[in-house]
Amino acid sequence: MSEHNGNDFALFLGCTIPLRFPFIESASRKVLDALNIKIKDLPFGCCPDPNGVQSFHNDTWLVLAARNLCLAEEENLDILTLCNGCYETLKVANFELQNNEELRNKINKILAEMGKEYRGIIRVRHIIQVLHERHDQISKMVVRPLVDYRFTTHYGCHLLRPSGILQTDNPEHPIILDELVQVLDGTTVPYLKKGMCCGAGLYSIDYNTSLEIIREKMVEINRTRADAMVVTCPTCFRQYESGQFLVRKDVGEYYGKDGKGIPIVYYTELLAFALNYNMSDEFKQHHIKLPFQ
Amino acid sequence: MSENMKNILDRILSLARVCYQCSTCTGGCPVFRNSPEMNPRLIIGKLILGQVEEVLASSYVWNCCFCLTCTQRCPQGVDLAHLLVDLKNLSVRRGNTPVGVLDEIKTLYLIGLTQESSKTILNRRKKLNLPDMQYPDLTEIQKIMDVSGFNDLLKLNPRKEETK
Repeated sequence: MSEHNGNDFALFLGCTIPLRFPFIESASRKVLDALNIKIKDLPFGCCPDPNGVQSFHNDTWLVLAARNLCLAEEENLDILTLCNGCYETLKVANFELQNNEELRNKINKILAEMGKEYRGIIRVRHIIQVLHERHDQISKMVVRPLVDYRFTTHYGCHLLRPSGILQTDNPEHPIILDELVQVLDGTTVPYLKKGMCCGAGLYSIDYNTSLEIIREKMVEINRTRADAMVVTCPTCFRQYESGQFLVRKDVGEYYGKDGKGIPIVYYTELLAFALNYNMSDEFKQHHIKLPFQ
Repeated sequence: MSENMKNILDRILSLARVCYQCSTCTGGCPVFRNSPEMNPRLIIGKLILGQVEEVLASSYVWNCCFCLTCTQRCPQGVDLAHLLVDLKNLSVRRGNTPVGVLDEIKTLYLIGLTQESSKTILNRRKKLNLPDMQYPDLTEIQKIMDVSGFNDLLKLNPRKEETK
């Protein structure tokens, strides 16, 4: 296997973060820098999407994922993802190719045409895992503790499942994100249906059901009267932020303490704020105003 | 290199066979609660009885949001989420791909990513002092999609106008 020191990574941004939510990218780069985690940007393609592309053609999904893995292998770097979808695709593809020689040979025949070979020598990690390993280091670096705020957390499906391959946390009772919020002195509050999907996967296929699912989640999250909701995935972020407005428009339900919605925040934004970075440019791009600025 | 249809069908049936219809999958399915025609237990029941055609003729296989809760909880270890991926792959071969999925993969073919860039977003990136966007080698991505049989499947799925 690789001789990685666990501190150097190829940063896998995916599609949604750099081209829809660049503030998540900005916050993530800040905290990686603060924690002295070294990253390299590589010309990765779409991971590709574990829902749409895999559902269309499983084989193509696997080869495109293998191509991305090859790019990181050429640099001998582990991959660091910011998006649950990228994490699931790349880690599952890596697992399947590492453990199935017949499949690996089949995929390598296609990759050989572009001078590439998948070797299976790197790991795929999510930024939440990497940050959680540095829990103690973070606790010593907090400048602006979030002591006055209560948060709900949403882990997202593809950070946890299929747990046999991903091995991120307990798939039914995960704690790593809650602990990462608590280390910033924020309070995390439990809520019903915490492990339930946000419904984003159906947004472009069955819009009404997708909204019904997000509504089911929002009703429970709203009951907690939390100040904000912490997520680890840009797709969940989009579904929660825009979904609240769509539900308001369609059903007339208003969420949040002032009825203006429950603010959604990606974990690294919260961390960057606690580490005393000026986050006003990032927070300005949110549609629902955060309680701390 | 597309896997032949019989292989996929055989795999689906061998995966499904151990199901004893306890309904843990349906109980945890976020789609079923809001859109009951998508019932994982019934789908797998039909597969066991050999009613594959009936399942493929329906549109509800596409209503799985791939949250993998069923796969996680099945006491018999049936990987239902990936079984549904296989069913969707078969549905694609019959030209039944939803418009939302087609749009996404066409964007992927054209730019190698599934989100399009825009002036507004590039300006936002600049304001946040982010490095320039790195785009993938499109010839490689298109080559993979051509060789793997992806484009033949696209031809089978002309974009129908959306009916809502």
